[in-house]
Amino acid sequence: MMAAAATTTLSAIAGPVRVGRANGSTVIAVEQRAREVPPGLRALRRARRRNSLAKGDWADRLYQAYLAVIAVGLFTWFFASIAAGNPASAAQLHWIDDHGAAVVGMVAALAITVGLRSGARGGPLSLELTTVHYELLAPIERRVTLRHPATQHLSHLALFGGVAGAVAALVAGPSLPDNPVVLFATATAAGVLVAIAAVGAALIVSGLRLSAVVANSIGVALLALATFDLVSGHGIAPTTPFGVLALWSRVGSPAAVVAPVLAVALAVLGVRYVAGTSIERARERAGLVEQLRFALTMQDLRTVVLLRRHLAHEQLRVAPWIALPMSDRGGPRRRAVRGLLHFRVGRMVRMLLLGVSAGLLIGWSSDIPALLVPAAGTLFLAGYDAVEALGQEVDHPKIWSSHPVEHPGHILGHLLQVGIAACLPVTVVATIAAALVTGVGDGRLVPLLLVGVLGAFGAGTGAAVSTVLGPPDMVAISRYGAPDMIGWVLVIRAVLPLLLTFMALLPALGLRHHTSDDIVSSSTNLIGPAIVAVVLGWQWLRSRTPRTL
Amino acid sequence: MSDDDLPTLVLDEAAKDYGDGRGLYPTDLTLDPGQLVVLAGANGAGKSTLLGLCAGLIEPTWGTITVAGHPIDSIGARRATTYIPDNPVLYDDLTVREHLEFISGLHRLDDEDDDWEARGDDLLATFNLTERADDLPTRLSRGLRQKASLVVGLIRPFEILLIDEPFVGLDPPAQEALADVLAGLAAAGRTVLASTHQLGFVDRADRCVGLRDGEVVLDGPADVAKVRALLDG
Repeated sequence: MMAAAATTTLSAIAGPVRVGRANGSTVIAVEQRAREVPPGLRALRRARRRNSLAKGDWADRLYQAYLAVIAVGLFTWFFASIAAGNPASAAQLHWIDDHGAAVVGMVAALAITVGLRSGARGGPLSLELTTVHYELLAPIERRVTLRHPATQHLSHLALFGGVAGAVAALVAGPSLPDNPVVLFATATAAGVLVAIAAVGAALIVSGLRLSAVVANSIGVALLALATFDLVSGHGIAPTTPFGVLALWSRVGSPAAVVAPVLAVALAVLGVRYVAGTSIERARERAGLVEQLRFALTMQDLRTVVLLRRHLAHEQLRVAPWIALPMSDRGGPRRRAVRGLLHFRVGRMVRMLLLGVSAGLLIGWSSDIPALLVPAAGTLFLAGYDAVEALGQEVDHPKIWSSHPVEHPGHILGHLLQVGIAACLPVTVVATIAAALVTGVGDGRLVPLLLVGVLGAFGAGTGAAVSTVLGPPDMVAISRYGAPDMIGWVLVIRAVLPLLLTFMALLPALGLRHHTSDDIVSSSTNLIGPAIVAVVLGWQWLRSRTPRTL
Repeated sequence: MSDDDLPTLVLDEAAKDYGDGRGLYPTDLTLDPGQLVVLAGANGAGKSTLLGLCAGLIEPTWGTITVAGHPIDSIGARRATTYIPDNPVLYDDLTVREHLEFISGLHRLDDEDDDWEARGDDLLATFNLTERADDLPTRLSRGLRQKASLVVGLIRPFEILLIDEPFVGLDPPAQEALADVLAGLAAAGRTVLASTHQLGFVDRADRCVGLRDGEVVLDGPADVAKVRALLDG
């Protein structure tokens, strides 16, 4: 029946207009029309909006907006509370006048460097697979097709940058004697422009298909110039004008004009060159970003980490740094060490840089204790790399369950030992960075050393717990708790591993005291809770069994 | 040489190196108008890479590719090529009929002397999809999504159809209908390059190109025995 239908309609199916081959008049006509936005694209966007509204997606968007407002509110409250009631001293104001613009310029240089790296990896656009298949393969100039997603991405990131600038102004405003309205306006504008510059730079690199080496070199040069400005007090870095604009009320200078000119130029060039974006990279990113969004929805941090590595084309060395023999002795530990020896230099440097950042935050927490929270988060991230071998075991439950041991969870315990050992260089670097901020006199060496050791345990154990937790089992959660408790259970699941790392850093709270006795006693008193948290996490890991479908 | 004598697809030493040992070795291949070509090979042989290269979705590491005389990835080549992937790619928030409308608009079929709406109805009827034409893809089964993907890929004009594992997920009547459609397209002068493990379809092809480990190891008249030997390794 169907075959008969096919036969009767074949002529209609096989007889659409011929496309035309490569002869002069056809090519000119086709390319002329390719420069115009076809009605199909406009119709598509209209139809998708209509269907999205009909499906009730507006409720999802409202909910997302509601969550975003809460997140921004909490973020602002957190940072405003740590700055509140601390009006800047004359010396601090003097320092801000001399170095404030360079600090903001450094942030701008970092943002643009991130953009450059993203562009070298095929970003910053994350198109849908359907867009790649239908729109990029259609006989339309890519510039026409990609202009809309590029400008949309620019506007989204500009909004994000503006919010970040506004929050920074709200946090810093009460401490500064400047006009808060002017500070708010200029900081918001600087945030918008930094975001636009970063996205524009990414679009240019992606469109011109510059190699990672070139993109990274430009980034390093920008960071070097920004560092020079920070140290010397000069203003030669192209990113420092963003800081001049942000702090216009304090360091008003005509140099601020450079910021909008640079940002707009980068954005315009980015949109102009976006047509050169690699379709192969766009397709690869489309697939990965789709999975990444799903993993985020499922709160599956391990999958998010793995997909992010794919997205960043992060690969292991084929040959290990040292060819450690795979003898029977040592078993899983030896396998874990062998895995770590395949890490590339970039990954190790990133772990150490996370250590430096965590250390600086720990050092500054002597003035603002709340900074221990981001310090714990930073060490937690480094821990995720360090417990890679444990993650591999969890990813392959069949291999894990094939170990000839009575308690498979003990394998995780062995692997965690290696993970913690891999965290030690990170926490040593963190301790040195913190010591540079606080100094080691007046008994400060005690909390710093405690943080150096316990921090490694906390980072490794927290990351391992997060890895093993995996995505939430909604059926199991709803079986044991009332439906209205599910949200809280999910929040606790997400926060618990991070809390574990934070608990291990508690002895650093001793740094806020001023006398040697207070520092030592306060930090040693907090060893107990830190050890309890780590031991509980460790024991929980040892009780796990492979989860198979 | 008239327009119709021009080869539809020419690969000149085209190769892809993914950098991890996988890919396609330098390949020469010429497909003429009206040829129905089966692309055969075991999993990982390089079939999808070859199709991706011809579709412009994968960039060649070396060599050149031209489609209907246009360099690959040019607007002319994109206009001449339709590609139907093995895994249906459909907008979740457009109905099947809206897909047809969108693709027609994208290819400006309204501007041409072409009744795409009637052709769309015919295609929907051919694949027994008329009753589900106003459904969103998320409400369709895997097989129905595959049929929708075929209809969407065939609605637009083209010189060459690149189709990856088209029979997977289709019920037997739809497989038969699709085989008829592919043969009909070749008879009407289009070039069809279909990757498939379906030995039953090999008999209907004019030519078979076999791949093994990224290399063309077979190129000649379609022969089921040779394809079976290739798949058996």
